[in-house]
Amino acid sequence: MKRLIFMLMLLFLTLIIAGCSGFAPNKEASSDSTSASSDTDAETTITFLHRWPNEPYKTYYNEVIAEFEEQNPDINVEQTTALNDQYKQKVNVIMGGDTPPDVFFTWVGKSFGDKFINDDIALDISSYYEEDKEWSENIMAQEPFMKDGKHYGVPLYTDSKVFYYNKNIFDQYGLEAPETWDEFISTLQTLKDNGETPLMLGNKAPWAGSHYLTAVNQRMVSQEVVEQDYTTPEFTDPKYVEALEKIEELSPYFNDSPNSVGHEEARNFFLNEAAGIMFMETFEAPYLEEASFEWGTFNFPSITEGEGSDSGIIGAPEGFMVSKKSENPDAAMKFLKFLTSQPMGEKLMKEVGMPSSVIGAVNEDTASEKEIELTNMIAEKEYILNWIDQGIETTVSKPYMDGVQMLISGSKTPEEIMEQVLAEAEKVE
Amino acid sequence: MESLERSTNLPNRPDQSNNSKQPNLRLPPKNDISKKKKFNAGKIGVAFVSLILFIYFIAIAYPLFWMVINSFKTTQEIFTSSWTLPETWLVSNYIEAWNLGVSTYFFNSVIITGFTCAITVFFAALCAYGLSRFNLPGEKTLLLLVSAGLMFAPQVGLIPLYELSQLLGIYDTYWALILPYAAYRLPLAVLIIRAYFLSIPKELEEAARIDGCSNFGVFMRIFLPMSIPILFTAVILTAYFAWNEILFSVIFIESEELKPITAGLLIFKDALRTDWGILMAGLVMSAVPLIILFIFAQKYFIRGLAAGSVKG
Amino acid sequence: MTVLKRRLGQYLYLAPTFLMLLLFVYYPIGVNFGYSFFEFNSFNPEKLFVSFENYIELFRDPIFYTSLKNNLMYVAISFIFQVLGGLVLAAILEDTIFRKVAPFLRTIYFIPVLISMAVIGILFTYIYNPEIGLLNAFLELIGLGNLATGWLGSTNTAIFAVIFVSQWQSVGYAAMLYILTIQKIPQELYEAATIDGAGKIKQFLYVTVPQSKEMMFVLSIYTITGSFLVFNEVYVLTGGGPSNASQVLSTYLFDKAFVDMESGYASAIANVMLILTLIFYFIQGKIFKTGEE
Repeated sequence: MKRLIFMLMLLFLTLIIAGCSGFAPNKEASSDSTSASSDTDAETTITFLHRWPNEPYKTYYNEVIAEFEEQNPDINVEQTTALNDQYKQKVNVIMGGDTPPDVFFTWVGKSFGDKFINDDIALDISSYYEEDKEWSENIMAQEPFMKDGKHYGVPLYTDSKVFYYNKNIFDQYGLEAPETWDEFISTLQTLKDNGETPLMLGNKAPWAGSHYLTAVNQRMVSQEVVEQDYTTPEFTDPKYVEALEKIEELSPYFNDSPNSVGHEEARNFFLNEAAGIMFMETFEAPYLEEASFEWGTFNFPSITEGEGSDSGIIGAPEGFMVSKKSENPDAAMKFLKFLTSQPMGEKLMKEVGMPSSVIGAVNEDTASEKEIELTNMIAEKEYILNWIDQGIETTVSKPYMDGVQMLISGSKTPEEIMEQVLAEAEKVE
Repeated sequence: MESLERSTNLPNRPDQSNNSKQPNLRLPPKNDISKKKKFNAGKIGVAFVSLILFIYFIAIAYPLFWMVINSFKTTQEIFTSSWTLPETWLVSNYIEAWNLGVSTYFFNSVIITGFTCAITVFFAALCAYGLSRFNLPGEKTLLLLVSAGLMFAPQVGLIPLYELSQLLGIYDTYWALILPYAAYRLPLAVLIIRAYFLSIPKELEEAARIDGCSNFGVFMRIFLPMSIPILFTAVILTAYFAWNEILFSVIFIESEELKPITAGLLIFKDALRTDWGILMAGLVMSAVPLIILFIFAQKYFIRGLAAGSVKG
Repeated sequence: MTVLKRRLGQYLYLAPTFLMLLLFVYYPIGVNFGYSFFEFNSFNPEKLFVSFENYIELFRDPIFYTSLKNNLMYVAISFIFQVLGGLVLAAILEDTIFRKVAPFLRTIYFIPVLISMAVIGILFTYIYNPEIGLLNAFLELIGLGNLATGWLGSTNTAIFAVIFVSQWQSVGYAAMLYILTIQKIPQELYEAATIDGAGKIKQFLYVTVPQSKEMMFVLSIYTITGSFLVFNEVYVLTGGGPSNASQVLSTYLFDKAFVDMESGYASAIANVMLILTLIFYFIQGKIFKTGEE
């Protein structure tokens, strides 16, 4: 026994001596940097927090960072990552800490981006926009990252959402991509009658359902009212109830208990031909390249009785901010500008299918026909409504999204949900 | 002491220890009818109980078995036939899981658990020694302060602990887990070690003193070596906690490279949503060490579990 | 060497432990108590004194009551399965009839105790999966296919699905502790009962149960406080969802503190948990004292 303990101790000592750096609070420990050599001569280290720990994005960021470090041997970039839902949970903890990352990912809207701006987390980077016009004038969708005419972030790409459908299944039943709500419902009914799962939804994390909500609200409620409610939430328009009824109308066509399936999991099922249609983000197109079936996309169908836009789309740009506590804002901006440079934007489109915010990055060399189509769709639309889970106050969006979960499982009515949303909206000053 | 010995024999208790029970079983059923009926009823009862034991066995073993067989499959195969044995046994899943991060998490868990155990047991032994040998003024109060520590769950101090770790500059280092883990495990360790120290005869200590040992010398040369079994129990108690803890490991460590296996697996799961076979392999690898430790150190383990409520 | 100096030297043995306890156990709890009267978050470290506002809001918060209800459900079900079921299981395994298989079963039943909830939780998300999960497939196999549902995704079943996983892990632990207790029961008691004509069930009720009373009590307290503090299972399996249906106090605390950034409110939740567990510890202390007398 004595010997065992002695050996254990010896083992630990060896481990320490072998230089495990996790005991010291310096950030070297978390180094994910790709080249060992750059560590030695790097003078500045910047930390980079984003939400893509998974492939193919992981490789993309590793490569981009390696290239950046090669071009800037005096700067060392270290990344920390957490996937989507984990990220939402983590980013608050990390940004509230004493040593937040220099560059961090953010959505736009009240839940994240605005909060970082208002709570003095994000650095005002207007001067960098001014200094380097050649770079900044080549960036689309800057506005959501601004407040009072000042810049607080750089958009990486613009995300949107469309229905992806399995052409094999559609052909089998002689179906075509629907354009109106009625066509949509009859398509779903045909699929259902033939024993297929019409719509795949993974709503374990309720943001997935909230995208349906965003879309039906856009169709049903007039643009003016919606935009008003995104600024100061009231949600008194009776059309909001009707919008929820539209989701209710869809619920028989979803897979079994969508609330117990995660979104990524649902996408897996869709890729395995378990369903005819799935509502997915435009940047998810690369996953479909692996699919064994032909696929197509269509926009959320128009609704005749709606007072909103028939053709608008939902989505928002996503991008990065620099932390106000950053000790190396120049190096951080250098990296950010590198990320949003023409070649990196093209690489982003080509390798991971994200429609870069860099003007002209999406072209015939970098994107497939379908992807260009999707990107153009985003670029052409004038009315892009931000995701409701990002766009409005979290205190209001939470019961709203939870309500949609309950609506889908049939345990709450549209009226009950709106009642709760109204109650929360009233509390917002 | 005697009772401890008995319990330590438990896991592979040899048949003869049941000798005393044997006569009960052999009571010959008397020849009257009523007894015979009862015997039949008993048989049905046994059958029923056996069935329940069997169902419970399946309920425990089958999910584990399912995890193991699916860890050798491709995602496609899990998807289409998760019930059957794999067509080809993909050992590569294990290699891939190991390389994709499990090795790092594993290493971190070993370090964190090791240091937590070392600190907890050494500090606890020192404290137990101080509280059992010197008749210190205020000993009762101090002892109470230690035992009261048992009542506080880590959750309750979560926010101040988070701030404290920032303040001490240990946030996002191994220490951010090691120190709180040790602190919350100390009360139990002190109490069980102290109980053991109290049973060490004074004469031994006095003999050592005559040989010129200092207090610390007595501690190092007499108390520690004599208490190795109980120290080992304390180590196991602490290791069990540190290896399985989730809440702190999710909050206090930010860098993926420093995460222990619990928090790491949650990330691993996210990053591998599409590679279930590899994920299952990662799960199996994370589960195996404690099971092996259990098999080799059953008696300490069970005594440890009996010594205090270990979980949470 | 003066007496004082010697004493000081002796107190030094206690110093490391007490330093750790004060810093990481007592200090946070004290500070947390104070925090519950303020409104703040880690973005805005300036603390705004709101006196009992957090508590008032908490006692009006339906999610708080859902959490509390779920914790109570946890207490009740865990009590039945672990404190009572564990004893029955232990008695069965210690019965001579099952002597041959008992050591094997005991080990198997105990294995889940050794597996981290992170592993078990991830495993069960697949077992509960409505599309490929074992559970629904099994239900279909035995002709109960209409019971199949998305266990973790339905507001009605989520908390029970989570509680079940806890039982799956912990019954073996309780049973193991009871086995240790039963083995210490003097054999003569059973023999005497047999002579009096007591069957197995009566032996269990009149010998095993009274003799295991103390362990039952220890396990009760342990199970009850554990159920009020449960975090891991819920966090890994559902994160409190869907629509907060499986929220418990710990996960709600976590959400409030680190997702919604309402630190003061979270501190108030923590204090409620503290009080709930303390109540049970005091009951334990009381009963143990009276037991001694």
